[in-house]
Amino acid sequence: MARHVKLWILGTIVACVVAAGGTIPFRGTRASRGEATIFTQRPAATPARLHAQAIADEWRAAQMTRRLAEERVAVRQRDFDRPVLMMASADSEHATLQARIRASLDSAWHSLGLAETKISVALVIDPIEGSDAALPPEESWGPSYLLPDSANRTLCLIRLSENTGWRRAILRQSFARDNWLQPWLKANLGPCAFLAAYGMPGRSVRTWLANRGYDLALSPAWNDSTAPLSSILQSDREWWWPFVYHQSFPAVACLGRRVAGCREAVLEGASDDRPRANRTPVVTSDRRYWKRQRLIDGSSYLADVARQVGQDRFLEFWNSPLSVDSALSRALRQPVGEWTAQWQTRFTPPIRLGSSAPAAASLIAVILAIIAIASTAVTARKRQVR
Amino acid sequence: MFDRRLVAFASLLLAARALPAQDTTVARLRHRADSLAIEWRRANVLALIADSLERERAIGGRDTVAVGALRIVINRSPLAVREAAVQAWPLIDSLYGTAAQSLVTRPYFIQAVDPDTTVRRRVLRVGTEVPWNLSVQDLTSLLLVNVPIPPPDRAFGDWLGGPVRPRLEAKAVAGRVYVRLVIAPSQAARSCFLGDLTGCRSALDLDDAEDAFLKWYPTALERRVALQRSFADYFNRPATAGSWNRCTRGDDNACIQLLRSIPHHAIPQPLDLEGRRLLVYAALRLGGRGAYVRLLADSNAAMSNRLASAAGVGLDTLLYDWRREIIAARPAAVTIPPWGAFIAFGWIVLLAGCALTSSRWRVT
Repeated sequence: MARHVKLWILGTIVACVVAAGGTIPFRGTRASRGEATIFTQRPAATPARLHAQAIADEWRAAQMTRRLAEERVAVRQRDFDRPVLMMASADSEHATLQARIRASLDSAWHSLGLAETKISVALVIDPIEGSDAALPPEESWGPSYLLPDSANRTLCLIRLSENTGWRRAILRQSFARDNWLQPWLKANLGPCAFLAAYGMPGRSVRTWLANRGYDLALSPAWNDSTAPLSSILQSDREWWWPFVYHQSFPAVACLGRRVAGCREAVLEGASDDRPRANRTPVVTSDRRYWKRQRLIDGSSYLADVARQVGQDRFLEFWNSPLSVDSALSRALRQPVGEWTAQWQTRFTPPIRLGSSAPAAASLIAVILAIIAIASTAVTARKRQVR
Repeated sequence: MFDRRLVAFASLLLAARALPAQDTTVARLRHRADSLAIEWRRANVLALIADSLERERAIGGRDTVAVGALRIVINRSPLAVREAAVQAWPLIDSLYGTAAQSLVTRPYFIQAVDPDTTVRRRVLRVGTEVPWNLSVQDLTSLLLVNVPIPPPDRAFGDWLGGPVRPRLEAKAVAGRVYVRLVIAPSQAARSCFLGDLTGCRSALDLDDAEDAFLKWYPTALERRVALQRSFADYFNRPATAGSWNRCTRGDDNACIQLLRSIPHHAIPQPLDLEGRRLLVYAALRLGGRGAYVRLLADSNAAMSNRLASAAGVGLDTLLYDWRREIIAARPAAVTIPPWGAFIAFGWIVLLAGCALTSSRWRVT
């Protein structure tokens, strides 16, 4: 081996030893100030605590179902022209609160174009009971619905949990100017608004929606042509990646405008493979609703279908004895997957799926490669062999 | 023969069958919820026992370091816990006063861990993990920011943005609040800086007014700027684009309407939470050892009354004291040492000399 090569190798080894000596601390060395990093793990709950929490969740679901059933029995009055309002609390501010909610509810009802309906709707506003140590704390999270069933075929019940925050907001003097309650109540009418407007759906549609918790019929926004801001985009229109990674594969595929993914995302639950006994007329919203969505921003999907195809075609789909795929395709006049992929463009740009490099990065790489090849070629031309 | 009694009985039976169908369902659901509640109570008792056992296990075979009312349960390690506790206790005691004695029953649980090992650590159930090579200063800070004092009521916690913690960098915080008072795009903050205590009261959100933002940002320009800075993306979307465009074109009513649609706590406030913390520190300092207890005594009272009660003086006196501390913490202006000018001049001469003596560029 030539002498200068040996020198290079020796130099490299010495440099590595010096670098290692300078950077790797000896075991047990006390870190200098500012260098220590506090790495810690969060205290984890004991298995017994996790078990108690799971039972508490189960109790909340059972308690909510029970309350819905009790409140349906308590709704004596029926009104097919507008929703019945029932407020469980009765205090000094009750009359003002009820009057304001009543006015906003009527306004929301009329803004949906609803008049006399086949199914009546009742809105129950229920205070969460005070803290009782003998019971798990209840959660105030979104509306819950009790849809018509064999015990009561003409009433759809909506239950909202009252909390001090919105109670105070309604009682504020500036309430009339702000007018936030009407759109909020309108959004919370959810599947009951669909049932009021179109009646009980046919068997296939009913099974399909029940299997997926009516997630495509939660927002009765058939009169709103403006697309809401997507929940999956940040304010700078960038993807919110932790959110994306929590979603189902078909939902993400649909974000990527893959027609098959969109079709799968929409038609999930359409095959009637669940035992009938497992279907419940109760629809709930969960605080973890944003995880594993079947279709991103799908809460207004059926409302958008209704607006696009018009009332007659939507009713045809709603009551159709055909399979959901066939009935929806007929109403849309195109395959479900294609329409849904197009519909998704209202909310989000197409997401880039797979390991594809961005166009700008690819262009820079090509330019760098051309420069490297050109400079090598120029150097090679000037090389002289003696 | 047609028996009327039989008809009446049959009618009654039919009516009775229709009505209880729902009642049976309700009874079944009620029974299920009740039995789950019983099950939860049992599970909760077991969970409490398990949690208690974990705490016992966290204490077992460990040392307890006691400094003042501080109790620190820790495993054997080179971590300088006692030294850190000695430094932390006077700060904690002077802040919470008599309330600090409750810490005797609320120990820290610290698990000192080897920072270099790759051995998988035990699942942590209780306390905090700390690498055992942490310096005394860092450990003191850790003890101060994690004081196991009971949390305050919600109203106070919301106003302050969290619980009261000992001051770590008093001078720097007051300096930052000074800068904020000067540069905040708010008439309330500027008038506070100039000595108007009403402005200070508004800037610290102590007015308990419904539309407090009208005092924070009394002019149309201020309101528009506050919205443009913080809510441009939020409002510039289809549902609110109309109001937003009117607001940005100078329609103040539209701006007010948009501001009213935002929850009170979400509207950008003239002073950030550091200013409020300084006010609480001032109240606790003026109020003596019982101040913290008085501060949390009435969770329903207005924040201004609670602070005045804690300080034992009127709110204006408290605000005056707070403002004086901030004005005294005016950050030092950047100064150039006398030799700095000579060095700068030297560089200028050197670079000019290089430029003048270099050869001409020639293109061959």
